[in-house]
Amino acid sequence: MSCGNYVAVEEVHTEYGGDAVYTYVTTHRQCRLTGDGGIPEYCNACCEYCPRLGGDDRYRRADALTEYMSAQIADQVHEIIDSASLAMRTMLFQVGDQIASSGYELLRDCYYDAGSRRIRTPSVLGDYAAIVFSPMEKSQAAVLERRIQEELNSFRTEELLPHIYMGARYLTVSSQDFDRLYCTLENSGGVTAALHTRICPKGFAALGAPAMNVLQDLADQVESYLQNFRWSIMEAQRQFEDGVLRSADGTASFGGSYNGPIPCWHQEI
Amino acid sequence: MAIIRENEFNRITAIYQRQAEECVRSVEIFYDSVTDLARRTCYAPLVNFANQIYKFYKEDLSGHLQREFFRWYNSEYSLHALARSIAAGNAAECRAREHMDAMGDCLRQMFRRGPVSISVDTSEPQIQDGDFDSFSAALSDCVYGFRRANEEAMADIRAMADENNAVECIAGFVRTTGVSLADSFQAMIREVEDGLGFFRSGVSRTLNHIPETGRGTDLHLPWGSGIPFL
Repeated sequence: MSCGNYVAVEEVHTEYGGDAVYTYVTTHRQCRLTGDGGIPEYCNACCEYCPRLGGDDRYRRADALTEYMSAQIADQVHEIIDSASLAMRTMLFQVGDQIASSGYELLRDCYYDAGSRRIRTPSVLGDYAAIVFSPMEKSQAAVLERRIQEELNSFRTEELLPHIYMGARYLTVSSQDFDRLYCTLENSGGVTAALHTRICPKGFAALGAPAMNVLQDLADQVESYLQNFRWSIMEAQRQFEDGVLRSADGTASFGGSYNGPIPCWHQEI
Repeated sequence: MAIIRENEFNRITAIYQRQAEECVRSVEIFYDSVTDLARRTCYAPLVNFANQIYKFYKEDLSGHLQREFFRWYNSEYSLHALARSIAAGNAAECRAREHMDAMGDCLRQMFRRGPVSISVDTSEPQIQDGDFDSFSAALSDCVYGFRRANEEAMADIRAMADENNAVECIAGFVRTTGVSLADSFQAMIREVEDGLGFFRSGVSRTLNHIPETGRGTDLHLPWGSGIPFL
């Protein structure tokens, strides 16, 4: 049984025997998915030799985009999203904690704004359709896509940002606190690193590519989201520092020395 | 305060308070010296001048600094106005106002303390040039005390401002307090020099009116005309 993914490729061989030249035309099959070729025409089970499918007897055929492989990819996506969520939640928890302890309402607003902004989750619909062929594969692809989409949808900022309580009456923020916030936000490397984890389904590497693409897309979205968060904090810092500088300059202009009359030495009484 | 950490503000208040206490201590030392001088010389212009300084310190300087403080308090540069301008929220604004009130209390306390006026019988004055020098020296020591207290306070604030530039918002008033005290007391040193001039010219004038023959005379010169009470 052939996978149906092969195409015929003709190859011309020339051989020299004494003064005679012999020309042979051989037809090979080449796998359309993997590009592997060199499979003789007479082999009607080319995929049994396909190096991308080798190893597991159950799934050596090209129509083996089975539930097992879908599950394998979906599980990996789940683990990656889970790991990224944890990293994101940990980082945002630190950010929230720092903002809460700053007591600065402007920063708290930045935080809540960030909570109300959604990270746009990329769509995977249709990605797999391009690389699968049979109705059975398409059905499995649809299931896989739905599972990936669910995983992506679980990556919600409103669930990632813990609620912060600004109970302190004191605004205790200083310029150093902003630096610390940026530093914490820089730790988003853990989130994107998780999202860049390679998807390696056993057997058919090409199937990992669409999942990796959406995770890459998600990593970009996370980076963009955090960049917006950083900008809003920078804007708060600008307002803070402008106000402080203006106030410091204004206060410096106050008072000065006493210019009124001073006691005089009266010789006459 | 609103922009400065609570413990930082407490440090700032402590710095301002320390400056105030050192200034009061300088004034007290000055007044102790001048009181001794007044009791020793019983010289009415000197006693009068010392009491004027006391009144000036309690009323004019106190009034000046309190007016400046309230001008700052009610301005757009006050700490609570700053809290408002940087959108720190109502709670922070109220807290900033409380901190400013605390500074105002500290300022009032500074002028509530201090010496009482000198009361000396000036009917038998005894003064000489060196007493004027002592008066000037007492004033100089006092000015030095004010300046040193202010420089220390400003150095402390600058050190804190390296970590948090919001501290500079308070520096202006701390400086105003120290500089106002030091400059006005510095100016009084010139008044003492003028007093010495009056005294010397009075002495010279009187001596010039004494008949050279040295015959017995009745010296019934009015007070204040420069009689040498030596």
